[in-house]
Amino acid sequence: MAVQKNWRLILDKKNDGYLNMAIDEALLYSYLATKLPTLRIYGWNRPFISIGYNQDARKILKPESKIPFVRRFTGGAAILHDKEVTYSITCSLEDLDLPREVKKSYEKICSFIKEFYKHLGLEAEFAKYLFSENIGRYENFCFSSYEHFDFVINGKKIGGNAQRRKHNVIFQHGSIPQEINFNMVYKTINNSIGAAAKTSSLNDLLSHKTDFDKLLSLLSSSFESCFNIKLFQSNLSREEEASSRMFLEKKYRQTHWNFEKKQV
Amino acid sequence: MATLKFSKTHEWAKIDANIAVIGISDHAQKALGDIVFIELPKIGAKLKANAQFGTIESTKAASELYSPLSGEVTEINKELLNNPQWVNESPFERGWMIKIKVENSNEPSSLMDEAVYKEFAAKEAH
Repeated sequence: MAVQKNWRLILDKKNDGYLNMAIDEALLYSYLATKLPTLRIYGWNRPFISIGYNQDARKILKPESKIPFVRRFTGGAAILHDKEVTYSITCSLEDLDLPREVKKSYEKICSFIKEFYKHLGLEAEFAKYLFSENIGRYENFCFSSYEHFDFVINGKKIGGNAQRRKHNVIFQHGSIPQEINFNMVYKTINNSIGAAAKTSSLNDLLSHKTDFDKLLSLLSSSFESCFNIKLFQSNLSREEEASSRMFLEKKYRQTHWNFEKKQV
Repeated sequence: MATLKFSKTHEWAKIDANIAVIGISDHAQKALGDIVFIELPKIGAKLKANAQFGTIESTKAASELYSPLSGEVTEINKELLNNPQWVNESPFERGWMIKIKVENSNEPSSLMDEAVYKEFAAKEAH
């Protein structure tokens, strides 16, 4: 059984990509000091690319693209964030009784997203149960490649997740697209043509427009019921705000981080 | 005769005189899954015991690597950067990551030998 702890819920607003990544990294460092596990749910105030920690922006993104991009501190591939709900979880292995194996930890953490889809009337299945080929094959665009514990609905992948592991702390964030502008994806990310055949979004699957605030609420309640955890809603602490500002200015807004993976 | 030691964060150090070769254990590579990227320090970098020296990416997870010992990096496995799967295939041989000049000859004694590490890793898995 997981050790019952207080979990904090941060229902954040829509920010740009630099600030979103700065807050996420501030939460990881904050956990090291406070040991307070956190679920943060947030959005994006304009189209924004995030690339994986080890991706090379010059190879991944089309030079003519005008969409801003940010390098994540998590692994994985590029995502065009726009109309979507994004979550981040910062906790220790013990907080969610997580297995140490990376794949198994995804399986457990992502189970609340499965429940979220179920509440929306969508039957999501892990890719590993549906595909034997092309699992784990690297693609520039995250939504075009399947990992074992990515979700598939009606034959297409939906969303994507990535982790950072620091000592015993697991940080995971993931994207749940409400809508995907494939033309924008094709104009922005190299070798992404054909992604529409592989990936889908909530509005597409449900054939209606979804409401961001309702999805935020449903995602947090799905987390509570899935893990039997009561979340208490809160904001960033003063220290976390200061730390976010530091990461924002010294790291995520810096060209040498986003292009070269170098920090000031 | 080289001595093989392990840290609680699952790195190994093969120590011969004052040079240590460092990599991650078989247990660690199995837990990580298919490794696709490795980031290593520059030659000349000064490492502190238990401090991060690089990252390793598998299954969209970027995990930090910690040095079991303090010392200066004298060599890195450059070929590994283009062949990260070697860590999965051969964690103790082709999958070695860095060599360091050990700074403190007392530090290795704080690491686990193979039998103790195996027990530690088995306990942690349950």
